[in-house]
Amino acid sequence: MRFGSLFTSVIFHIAIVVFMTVGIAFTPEREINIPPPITVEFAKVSDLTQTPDPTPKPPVKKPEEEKKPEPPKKKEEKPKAAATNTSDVPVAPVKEPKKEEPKPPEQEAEVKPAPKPEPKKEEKKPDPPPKETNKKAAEKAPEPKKEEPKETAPPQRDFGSVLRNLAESEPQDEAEVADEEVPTVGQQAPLGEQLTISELDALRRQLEGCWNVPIGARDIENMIIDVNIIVGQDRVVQQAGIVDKARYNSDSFYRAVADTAIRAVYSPSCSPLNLPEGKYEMWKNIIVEFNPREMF
Amino acid sequence: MTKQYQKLFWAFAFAIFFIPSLAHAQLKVTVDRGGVKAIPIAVPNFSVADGNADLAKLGQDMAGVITNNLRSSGLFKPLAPSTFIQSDNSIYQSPNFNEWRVINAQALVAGQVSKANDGRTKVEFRLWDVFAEQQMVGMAYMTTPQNWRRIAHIISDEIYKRLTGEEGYFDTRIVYVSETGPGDARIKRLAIMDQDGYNHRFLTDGKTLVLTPRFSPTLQQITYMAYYNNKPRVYLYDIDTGRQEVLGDFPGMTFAPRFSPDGNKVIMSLSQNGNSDIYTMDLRNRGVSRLTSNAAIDTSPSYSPDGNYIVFESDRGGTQQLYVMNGDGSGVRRITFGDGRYANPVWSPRGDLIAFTKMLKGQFYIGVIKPDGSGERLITKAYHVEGPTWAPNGRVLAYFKETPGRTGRSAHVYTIDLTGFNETRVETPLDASDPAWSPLNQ
Repeated sequence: MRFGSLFTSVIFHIAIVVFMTVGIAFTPEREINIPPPITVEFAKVSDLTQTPDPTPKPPVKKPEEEKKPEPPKKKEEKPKAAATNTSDVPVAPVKEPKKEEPKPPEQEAEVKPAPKPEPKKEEKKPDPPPKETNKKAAEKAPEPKKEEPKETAPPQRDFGSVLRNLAESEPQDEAEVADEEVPTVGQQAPLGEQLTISELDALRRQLEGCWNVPIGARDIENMIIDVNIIVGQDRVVQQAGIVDKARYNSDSFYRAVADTAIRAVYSPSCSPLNLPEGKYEMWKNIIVEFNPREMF
Repeated sequence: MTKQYQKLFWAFAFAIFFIPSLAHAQLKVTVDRGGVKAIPIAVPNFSVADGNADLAKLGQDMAGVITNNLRSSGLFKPLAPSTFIQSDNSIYQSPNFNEWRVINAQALVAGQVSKANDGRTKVEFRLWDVFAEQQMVGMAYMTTPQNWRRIAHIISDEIYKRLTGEEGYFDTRIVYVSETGPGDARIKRLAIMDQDGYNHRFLTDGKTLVLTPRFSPTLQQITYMAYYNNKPRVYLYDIDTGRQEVLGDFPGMTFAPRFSPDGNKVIMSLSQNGNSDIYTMDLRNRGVSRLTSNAAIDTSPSYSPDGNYIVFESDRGGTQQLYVMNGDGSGVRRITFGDGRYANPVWSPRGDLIAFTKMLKGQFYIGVIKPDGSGERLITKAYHVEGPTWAPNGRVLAYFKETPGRTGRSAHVYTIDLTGFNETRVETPLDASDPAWSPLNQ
């Protein structure tokens, strides 16, 4: 009996050792299906769809070439400039301020500004034609800077924290903010019926650089300013108007913010606009919505 | 009839499907962020019509005051006169906008000083939008020459209002406590000055200790706390006559006074037997109303601009926190729950924020919070910073900051934009604490 059980034990031990050394090679292999990795490449849309030639020189030359055949324009400007010094300019000949004078009482009472004058009447938009010429003149002046809008008007702060809060991280200094390259859309932009995402992106980012947002203004985060702009073929804004005129005329806070939007589209840094020249019909009339909500 | 309905149906269908698509044809771009920088503005010397040297000096001084005001706000960047191309700035001619655009001026202030036939001084100015090439404001003032500085402040306010949409605050004054002498024998006097530090004068002689002055909305009166016979009392001070008056004869200490928005009431704390509660006194009939009745310390009350609510500090919850209640004392609710202690709440004249002092981990902060308790922001900190007061437009805060030095502590008044930027020291002849901003002059 003892021998039998010993023999059985030895047999079992040998079997175990054999099983361990030989392994379980004969056990069925389970197939593991590992799905192939999906490669996601992060790239700026603008890098992919933008004007293919990264060398900026050719588009720069073109405007210069355009300038040369334009001496007649200069001739036109001079008379216009002279006109600005005369009463021909629509905005200038302001009403006699005598109407705005207060009553002739004495001292402090006199100091109080009398009934508000009527500058509003004078704020009426001048006739488009002189405006146009003025804009052209305006374009002339900063012409040497044509390539510079990228550098001249970068956003100045990190807008995740435009309102300072010492409880959070310190906001960046103006100087610390890196100048982001504003993509430009040159004349080689692909033609199509719609503006591409990168073309819109270029315009949007250019306007961002020209918009000086009056943070701290009451209810600024809830203000949306729609500006209707008419753009000339030279990509310079010819006319800009606030869409919500009723609110513009009744709400001083809205008017102040709306004025910043108007200044943005007329800014020399945004003149000419980054727009593809081949699609004039698409961008000759643009609604620009200025909405600072994301900044707060 | 049915045909008509059919026509109407098809017209409706056309409108539904085609008009939106036509409207969609216009390109729309959304700009959801922009720069935050001061507006470049050109303020050339005001021109003089007849070449009078005195008037020319006046025109230069006025341009200087306006320039300083705009710069101090932090919202404007006055351009250096040396960069100006255009020298003839007559207000009767349109500016050559190109010349201002070249130096990146976004706004231009053109002014003129002249002598009227009756001998008074006439000051005219126009504010131009350089990019849009249009006038934004045009005003004229007649005054005596001595008032030139005030006229410059009024013009600054007009410019500020037009370009920011907010009321200005340059034609205002600040009352504060002037301090001098060693720490154990400090002499404290009430003093008043223009917001830019000019036209400074003392209101009290320093024989009694004065604290927490507050302007009345009527401008003529200041309420403050003074120690009389070692007992703190709330006083009224008439700026024009110099007359002082004790406000009520209460059995305990009265302190932390502040006017109601209509100027008819003073709200303050009354302390009796170690417990302080909030009371109001009607200045017309001297009737007193008790608003809080709590075993905790309730103090530093401040009305909302519409007078319907009151913010105050209290330790009823175990720590010093801010609470808001209705104007009659009902509906008390706590609005701060952060770490540290909160004190000196002041409701903004704009109504959208409450400024406060916060003590946290050995530091003092000035912060702002919305009346519902959200959006707390700490905008400045120091070894000791306290006593926020709002400019009448609710855009700028003043407070005092104490810094330790070799010869003891020194205190000065500072202003800061509510965005937390542009902290500026207001120069005073002596040390200064407890500032209180006046409403706009009238």
